[in-house]
Amino acid sequence: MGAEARARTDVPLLAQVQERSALAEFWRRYRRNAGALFGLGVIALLFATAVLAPVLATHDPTLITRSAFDPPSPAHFLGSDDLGRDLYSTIVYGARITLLVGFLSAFVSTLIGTAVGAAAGYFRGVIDDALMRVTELFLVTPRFFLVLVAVAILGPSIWNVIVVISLLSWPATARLVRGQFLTLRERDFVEAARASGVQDPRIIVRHILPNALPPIVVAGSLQVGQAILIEAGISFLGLGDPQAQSWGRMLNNAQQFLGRSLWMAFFPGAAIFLSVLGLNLVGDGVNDALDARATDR
Amino acid sequence: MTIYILRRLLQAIPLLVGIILINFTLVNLAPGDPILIIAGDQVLSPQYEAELRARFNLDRPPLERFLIYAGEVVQGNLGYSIYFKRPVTELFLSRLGPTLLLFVPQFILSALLGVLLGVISATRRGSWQDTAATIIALMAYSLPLFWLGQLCVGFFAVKLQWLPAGGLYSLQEDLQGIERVADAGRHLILPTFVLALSHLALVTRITRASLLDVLALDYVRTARSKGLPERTVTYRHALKNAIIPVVTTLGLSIGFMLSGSVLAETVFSWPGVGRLTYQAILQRDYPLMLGVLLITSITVIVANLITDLVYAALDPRIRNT
Repeated sequence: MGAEARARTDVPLLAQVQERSALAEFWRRYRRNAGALFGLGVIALLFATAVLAPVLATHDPTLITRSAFDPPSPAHFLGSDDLGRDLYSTIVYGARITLLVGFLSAFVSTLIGTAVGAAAGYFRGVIDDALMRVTELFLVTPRFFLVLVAVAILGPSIWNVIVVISLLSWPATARLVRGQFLTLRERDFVEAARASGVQDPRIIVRHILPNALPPIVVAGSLQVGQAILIEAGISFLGLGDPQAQSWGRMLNNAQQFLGRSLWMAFFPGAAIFLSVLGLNLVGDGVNDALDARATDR
Repeated sequence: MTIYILRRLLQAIPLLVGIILINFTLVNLAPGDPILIIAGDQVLSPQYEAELRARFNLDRPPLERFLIYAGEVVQGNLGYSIYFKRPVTELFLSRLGPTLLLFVPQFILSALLGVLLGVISATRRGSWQDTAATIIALMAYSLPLFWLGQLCVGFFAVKLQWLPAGGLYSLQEDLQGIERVADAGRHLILPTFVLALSHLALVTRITRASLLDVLALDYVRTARSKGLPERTVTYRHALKNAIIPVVTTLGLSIGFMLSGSVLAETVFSWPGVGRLTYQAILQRDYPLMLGVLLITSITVIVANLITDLVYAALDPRIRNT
């Protein structure tokens, strides 16, 4: 009992110190990567745009005016669309939808994937077999097709889009987490926890999961970009939320005016491209920073 | 090897059942009572309604309906398109040609070129070629493909008028023979470029990473220290092992491409399976939608099966376990 009490007070302190230096070390490595820093800047800018949209926008993005198809000018920074709406202001407000869909569906799908992968990797046997069959099933079904069909059937609201993307994007994460759990569950500290009578759910959440977290975070950050691209595809096909003026929807509108005004397609697409590029750079940067530490050991 | 093939075939069966189940669930999630849709504005007498329900097996319990549905699917009957008023299988086959024409040359081209670029990237790590390949791959990976398509159509087709904006043939001209082939070829350039770029990026990325892993292994050092030329070490020794993850990616990317065909064929007005799917979705033609989804899913299962067999042929360790 005495030993256990001492361990309880000692370990968190030690862990704190280690954690702080690990974090500093991580940041030192991350910072060396110019691309990763650029990506972080892009994401920061994206968040700032979404939060400050009412301040940054120069026009009401829904306001229909007579100046249609304007090229970029001081009056319309990025030009105007077929109904004379300001493209810059529409893109600024669109950042909110992009972030909402990207992060929320990546978060939910990572949550599902982690739960499935953890259960499969920890319990193994029949549970593993059953869960992995389901995972494989979702992995082979052409995802974008299924997303389109499901959104068409459920109806085009932004929440349905998020739910559908989340429900169809978890298999890759599940496989990754399962692999992590399969190795980690054999480690001594898990054996020790089990021997001292810690219950399975607690072992999974408190003992194994923290150790499996870094690759999950990397996969999650890449998933945000994927979700943004899927939403853009749905909206480009005109199957997204008609209430939400997302970047993909702007590209749908631009499709019929490609000859007349290429601006209408260029800027919203560039916004999607830059956001996804930023997220992928951050994901790669985090991955490299963690990986380098692993190889140094 | 025969046992391995048989075992892989058996493992594909639960997947097939699962996919039919997903389809069946989606059919039943679709809004509206099918009987009321058939009836339209007419008011049905209760007896006639009951008769219709019996005829379409809608009075049976869900499990029985699923078995009936699965039975039809296994026999190749995917139902009847409401919008086109033709059998789904027939419609699909009629649109398959253009899709294959768009995807097969592009797939082979980008796979070969991607492996080559990946090898160059990995063997000259840190060179400007490597940096350029890495940056292009990352950018192509972050790009909405259909957007790149739009920009290409807007610039090369509409503005410069160098290439046709879409479709498989020029509609206004009645071309014959070699001119017709050349015309289709011109229509293929833009979509092939756009699709190949993203696939090329993916293959390059995977080849590079995989080859770098293998080049660090002991047996490669042994081969080098035997005095083998670097070219032999890379292509004959290292690439043989490094190619396995690339084969996986190629197998999986068939599914992604089929999915992506909806977007690509919409941008380029290509008369293939993707556009058929898009029309089905717009018209809420559920039998057609789900039929195409089912066929593509099965295609992906078959593609993965072939991938596994290619694996086994490449790597004796896999077929013997």
